[in-house]
Amino acid sequence: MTAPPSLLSGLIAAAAVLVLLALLAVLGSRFSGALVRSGDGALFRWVVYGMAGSLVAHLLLTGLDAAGVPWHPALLAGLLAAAIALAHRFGPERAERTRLPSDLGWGDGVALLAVLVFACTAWTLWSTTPDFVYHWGHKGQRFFLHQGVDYAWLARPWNWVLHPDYPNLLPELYAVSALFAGRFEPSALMLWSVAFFLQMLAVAREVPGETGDRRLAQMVLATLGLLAAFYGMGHLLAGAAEWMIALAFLTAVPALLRPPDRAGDWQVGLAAAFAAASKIEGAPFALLLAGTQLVRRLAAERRLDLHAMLRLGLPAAAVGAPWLGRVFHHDLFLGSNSGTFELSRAKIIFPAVAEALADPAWHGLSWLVLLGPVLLLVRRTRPVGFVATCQLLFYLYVYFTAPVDTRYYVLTSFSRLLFHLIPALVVAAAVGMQQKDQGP
Amino acid sequence: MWRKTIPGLLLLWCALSFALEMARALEGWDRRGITPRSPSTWRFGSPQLERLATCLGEVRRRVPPGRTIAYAAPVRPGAEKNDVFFRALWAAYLLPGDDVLPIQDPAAAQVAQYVVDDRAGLDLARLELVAQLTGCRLFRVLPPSPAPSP
Repeated sequence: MTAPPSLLSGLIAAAAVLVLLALLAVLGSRFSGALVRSGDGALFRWVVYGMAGSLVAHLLLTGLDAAGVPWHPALLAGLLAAAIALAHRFGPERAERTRLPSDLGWGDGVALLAVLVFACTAWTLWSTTPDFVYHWGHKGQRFFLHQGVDYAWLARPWNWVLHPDYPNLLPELYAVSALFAGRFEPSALMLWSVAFFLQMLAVAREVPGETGDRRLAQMVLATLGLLAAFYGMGHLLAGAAEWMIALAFLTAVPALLRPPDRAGDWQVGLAAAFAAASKIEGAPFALLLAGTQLVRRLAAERRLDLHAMLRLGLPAAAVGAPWLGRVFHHDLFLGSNSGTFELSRAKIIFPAVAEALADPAWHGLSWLVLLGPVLLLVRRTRPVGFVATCQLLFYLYVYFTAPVDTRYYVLTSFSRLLFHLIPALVVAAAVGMQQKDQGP
Repeated sequence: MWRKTIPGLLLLWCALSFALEMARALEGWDRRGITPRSPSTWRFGSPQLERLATCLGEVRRRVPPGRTIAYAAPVRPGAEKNDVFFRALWAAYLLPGDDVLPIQDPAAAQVAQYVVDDRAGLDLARLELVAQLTGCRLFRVLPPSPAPSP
């Protein structure tokens, strides 16, 4: 349980993760007609499909919990297969196929090397986040044994440390992978982080590539691969949910960079829901993402499009409503989440923020978060800059209100929270720079 | 000009940082067996953690699943403030089928059915020794004795 697994056991558990990943992506792909547009590349499409499939699976698991049905692996496999078949039969018309990229370049190679190195440190559990033990993995293991979300256990007074009020998508993915494998194998579960990392790169490959500057696109891809890998190893991020918020933001970036459209609404809506299902700070992030896209629609069309509102809000509402219902029903919400705004804390918060920005694991690049306000200056990247800046302000606001040891709170969280924003900012900044090069 | 230079410099900086972190990870991995760590910085593979895992592995074989277990660890002089807290978190992770809480928790006296004494030297009236395990002791918690009638 604390050492890397034997080869056979590890391979079986890894295969279970890969099978689940594939099932979720296939499930999501049944909705392709709504979720993607013809201009979207194949890799980006599969990221969106995976996200959609994860959310459908999350809703299925939530439904089973509500009905009191244990998550038997055969039942789960059957339900996923049935969901795929039903979506295939009754879902929207499929999008036209697109080819996988055949123009691999040096940036792809560098990024894949970075992923490979990170994957090795993750598999050995050497770069595993302590929060896997204190939170994500502990919950996943319990849900695996309980065959469902164990709300009674989460509600025990001494389990406040597990963040019982957090959304459960990541522990669910861990638990279902373990149910398919027949055992809880932490090394194999680290593959989820590797998968999220690869998906981030898939999006990053797409965005600057659209601008036609291949050299810049490869450079951004390599930069993001190296950056996420060194921070993931240095800060110990394998097994954490930070990848999911970073991925959600990145997935919304293409839609935020182009004029609003139907597929873009779905992509932003799904990204918002994925963030809301991943971490508690994903809930305000979801509101921000969906709200920003809605305001862009309003600005472009001068009218309120109800269908667009549904596309943007329905996924996050479907995820958020049952989560909130469960949290309040089981009285899981922690009082430490919110409190009175105390401006006097500024003298503690800002020095601690400066200290967190100097986290050696960032190698000085934590300051890239300031790209958020900078991107507000470029018209095309303004929505991305707005979302990043508001989310950053929200993180700071929480420090002013949460009734906990403020300095300790900032030092143990702020550096990690920046990871939610920086990958998307780097990608959007590349687009913004090119926009400037080409003129307004 | 700078729009081409900045991405290039950023990439170069990331490459150097990546090489440094990779080297650190390799060095840390090589030295994992000999580097002492406080519980707040334990990682999978830390030797202190292996000792705890051995103890709790034996606990798992002796305690039926689903029990409430209080975990006791010594407060060592000079140790970090949260030393015991983080040990208890690891113990809870290593006993996922049970409810584990630190013995300092106010609820422990009421709800614990077993106590794992990880070299804390417990000597409490309501504890009955179940087994001396590798590096720790397992106790059963006896029900409180009825109050003497007046």
